[in-house]
Amino acid sequence: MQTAVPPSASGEQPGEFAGASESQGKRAFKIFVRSPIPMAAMIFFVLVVLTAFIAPYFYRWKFNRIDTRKDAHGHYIALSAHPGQLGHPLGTDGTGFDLLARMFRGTQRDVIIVLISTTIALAIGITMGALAGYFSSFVDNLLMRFVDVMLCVPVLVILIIVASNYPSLGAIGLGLLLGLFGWMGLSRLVRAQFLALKEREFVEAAHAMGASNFRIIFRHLIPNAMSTILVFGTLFAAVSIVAETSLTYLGYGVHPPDTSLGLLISQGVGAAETRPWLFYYPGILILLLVLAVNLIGEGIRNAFDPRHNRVRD
Amino acid sequence: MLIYTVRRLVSSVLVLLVASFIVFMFAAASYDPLKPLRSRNPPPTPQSLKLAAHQAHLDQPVLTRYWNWLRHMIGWDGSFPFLKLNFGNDVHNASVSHALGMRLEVTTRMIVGAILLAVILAVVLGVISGVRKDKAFDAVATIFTFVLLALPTFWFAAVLKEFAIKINNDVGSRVFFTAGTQSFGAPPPTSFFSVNSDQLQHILLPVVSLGLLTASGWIRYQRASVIDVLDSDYMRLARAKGVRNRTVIRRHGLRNALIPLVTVMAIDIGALFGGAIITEQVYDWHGMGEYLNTAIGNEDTYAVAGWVMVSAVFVVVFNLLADLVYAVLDPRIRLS
Amino acid sequence: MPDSQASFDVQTQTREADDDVLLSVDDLTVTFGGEKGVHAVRGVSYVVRRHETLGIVGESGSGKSVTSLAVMGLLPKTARITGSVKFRGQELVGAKDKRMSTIRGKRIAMIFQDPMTSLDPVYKIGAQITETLKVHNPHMSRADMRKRAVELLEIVGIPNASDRFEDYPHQFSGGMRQRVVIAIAMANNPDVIIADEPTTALDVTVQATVLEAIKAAQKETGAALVLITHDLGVIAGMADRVLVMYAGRAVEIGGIDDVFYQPRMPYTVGLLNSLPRMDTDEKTRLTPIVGAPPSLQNLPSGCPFHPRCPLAIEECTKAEPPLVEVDGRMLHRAACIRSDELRGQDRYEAGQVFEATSSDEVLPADIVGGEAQPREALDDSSTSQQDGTES
Repeated sequence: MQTAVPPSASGEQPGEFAGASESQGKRAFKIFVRSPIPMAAMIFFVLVVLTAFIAPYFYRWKFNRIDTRKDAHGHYIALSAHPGQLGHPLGTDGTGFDLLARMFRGTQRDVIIVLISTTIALAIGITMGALAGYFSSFVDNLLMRFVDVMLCVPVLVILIIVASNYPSLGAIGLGLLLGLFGWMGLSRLVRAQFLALKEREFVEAAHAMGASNFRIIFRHLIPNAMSTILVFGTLFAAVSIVAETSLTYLGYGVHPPDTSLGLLISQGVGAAETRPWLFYYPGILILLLVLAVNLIGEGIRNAFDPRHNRVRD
Repeated sequence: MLIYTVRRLVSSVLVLLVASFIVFMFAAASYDPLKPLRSRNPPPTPQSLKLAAHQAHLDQPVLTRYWNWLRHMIGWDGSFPFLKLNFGNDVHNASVSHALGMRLEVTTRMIVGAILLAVILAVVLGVISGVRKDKAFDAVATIFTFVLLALPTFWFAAVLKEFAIKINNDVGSRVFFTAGTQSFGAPPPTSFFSVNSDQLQHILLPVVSLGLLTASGWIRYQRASVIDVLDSDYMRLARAKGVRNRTVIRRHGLRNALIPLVTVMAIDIGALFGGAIITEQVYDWHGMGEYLNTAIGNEDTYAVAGWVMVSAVFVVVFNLLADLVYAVLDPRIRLS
Repeated sequence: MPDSQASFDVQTQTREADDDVLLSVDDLTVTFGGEKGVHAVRGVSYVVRRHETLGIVGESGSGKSVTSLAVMGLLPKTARITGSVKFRGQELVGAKDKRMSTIRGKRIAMIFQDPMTSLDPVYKIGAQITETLKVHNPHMSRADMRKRAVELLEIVGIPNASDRFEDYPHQFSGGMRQRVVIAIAMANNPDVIIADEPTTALDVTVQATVLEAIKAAQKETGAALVLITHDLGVIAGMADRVLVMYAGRAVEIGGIDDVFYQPRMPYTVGLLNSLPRMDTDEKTRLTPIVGAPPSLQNLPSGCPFHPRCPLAIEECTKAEPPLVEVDGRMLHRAACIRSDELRGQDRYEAGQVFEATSSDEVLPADIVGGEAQPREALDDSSTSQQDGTES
């Protein structure tokens, strides 16, 4: 006698081979939109970024303009405006720069750095991981040994040494640098995913139907590795913000007259006792921004977690 | 186990060899050790410039310089099999390896302390939050770790320092030491393992600031792996044998849940080294970070190359240690 | 088989002695989640007597595994359990971990579904067997424990048992691992062994040998066996009595011959007729049960099987039928208000009712568009009925 009870035809059957991942993506999106904390983080992040880019047009102080008014005694008044004084909502630094205007500018620069670095890291990481995981053997060995070598030196040190060769590195250069040396982790993750995915039936079926390698990678494998890529992307964005502050603090990142959130807190450290607002406000803004990005990443991870629709029998 | 260890060792050495080539070539190409000399006023004579170039081996082809550097580094200069780890001399004609040795000791104290603190926090908080998932303790620990995860390294270190100074001022005596590795005039440590209360007081804040930031990711990771393990069939079978729940978690859960943490720890060692550079700067420690900053400022090829090699060896050694711990914990790795 | 069945009948009918009952489950319910949670088990009752084998059969999601985990007290804390589980008169529902630990592995042992994940990968096979010996026999010497463990490995049919004692689980094949799990289950001579789909995760070729190992374990320990499976073939070969579950409830229970040859619940009839027929040479078509099991979060009104049942009438949608004696036989009970209509028919005669709903032409349409004919008729009548009662 043989197994008797017919398997239940529950759950939606994927219509096309790649359809599985698309519907998975849609479901993950629905779960994400319905989860309160990641959505709140998302809204907060978007609001801060929009404010940073739009508000400067309506704000009376510019980030590179010194408040040069004089008081009754003929002294420059702005040299040490506390938060709320003299029309500076968050005060000024010792030179007379408005802190809020500088925080807008700093956030703008950080957003640019994050966008550039994350785009580059994702592009290189996915390409390298895909090549290594899909074509295997020679390419795989070469790439993975290269990654091994890259990972044996602390990333921050690589960044410091490379950045020290380009003293005039601005925000854009810094973003490039962070991206160029930040893809190694992702390439390993993508490679591992591809190694597992390419053994799966839908890839073999696509092969059998005569799909090109290019098509299989882009239509079948990358969509299935999407959760890994998205989660890495958000975590990397968070790491980029923190790395920018570290590099700038050590003197290899953004330099005056431009500014960034990292530069603001680096300059604020010295004034932590005399003008604490310079130290704490930008620091808390970075903390909240990175926190928001991490929470978004956590939300994406949860949304893709297969345990969400697991049912005990 | 032996074969596994040897294989890991060989591949580590190969990786280091390739890394040394890249590092040296890069350092040689980008730095000009004669720059400080040239910018002097009055300008130095061509002879003295030539002499300095000869001292810095700049008159040789770059591949020869690399080979000589490598030769002395690995002891292929007659001292074999004893590694001299000679990284050459810096721009002031002082031994790079001697200076790095002292500074590495300082930095290693901080890193080892931070790792210990982070491991303890990761295991304790991670296991409790994993076991009590979605309870009050877990919620508090989760908020705590997410905030830590979002803190810029030096800002957190500086905030801790500010608080410490504030407390010192309020109490009126020095409770926390916020700068340096030891009090001025105190006897220097006799060995790496010697500790006195003065050093412990100095190391407290750096270790806490570096350790907490490192722990943040590890706690999350340990929690996730505990949740995974608690859900596994072998935990259920162990309970079905009649083993008490608490014992099952200790005996079967903990060991299995530690396996993924060990791999993450290995990956994070590099980040820890980077974090140590920044923490050193905030707390005025004369460690590896300060040396690197000076070396880069001096455009000192040998100092920078030696520095990067030391950090690479450090990372590789810790990776190897993690691999061995991994193999001890997981027989599937050991025996395959 | 018929001999043992006969003796069993005589024995149980002559004296329904209480000291023969090892395990009695009474109106057990298990719910996951809150008010609108999943009702995984909804009032299951059965008894297990000394030395007997009770088969529990049902589709995945019918609650058969959850029932046995509830008996062992191994469900996660989020599960709400009501009803009663008694082992030799001792209540187990709500028992503290400390008391349950003295019963688990010693009195009631369990074999799990997936041998690939049931053994802890970081400990040696030997250590995992001696662990259960040590828990229940704290004063046993190391040498004795090792001796006993090797003996257990030999009983379940592992060659070179004393060498394999030092091996790790990953060095064993799936079938071998399941034998180790069986050895662990029988280590302390338990009174009851619960085997939860012990062969489902294994290759067909090793299923038979693992079942042999379970039989050997049962013979050696004299334990009663609760065998949970969706494989009616396994039940037929091993069980004395069988319990059929559907949507978290017992829908038919009885001696193996009663249930297999005179099934009185249409679901059982359907299950049996989806088996190939061995007693005749003529080519017969297998008749599947159309549709899928209901969602446990959203059960249909009345009998949960009515949307798929060819015998369903309007009354089936009103109340969930109780488990009642059928054919006047005390030990054969079924939960169907129309079971009388199957009286006197064997399973093949009864099975003909499924032919109507599962002809080849209808089948694809059914899967795509839901049950076409009978169900709509039922829905209409039920809504009109409701309208009637409301007005």
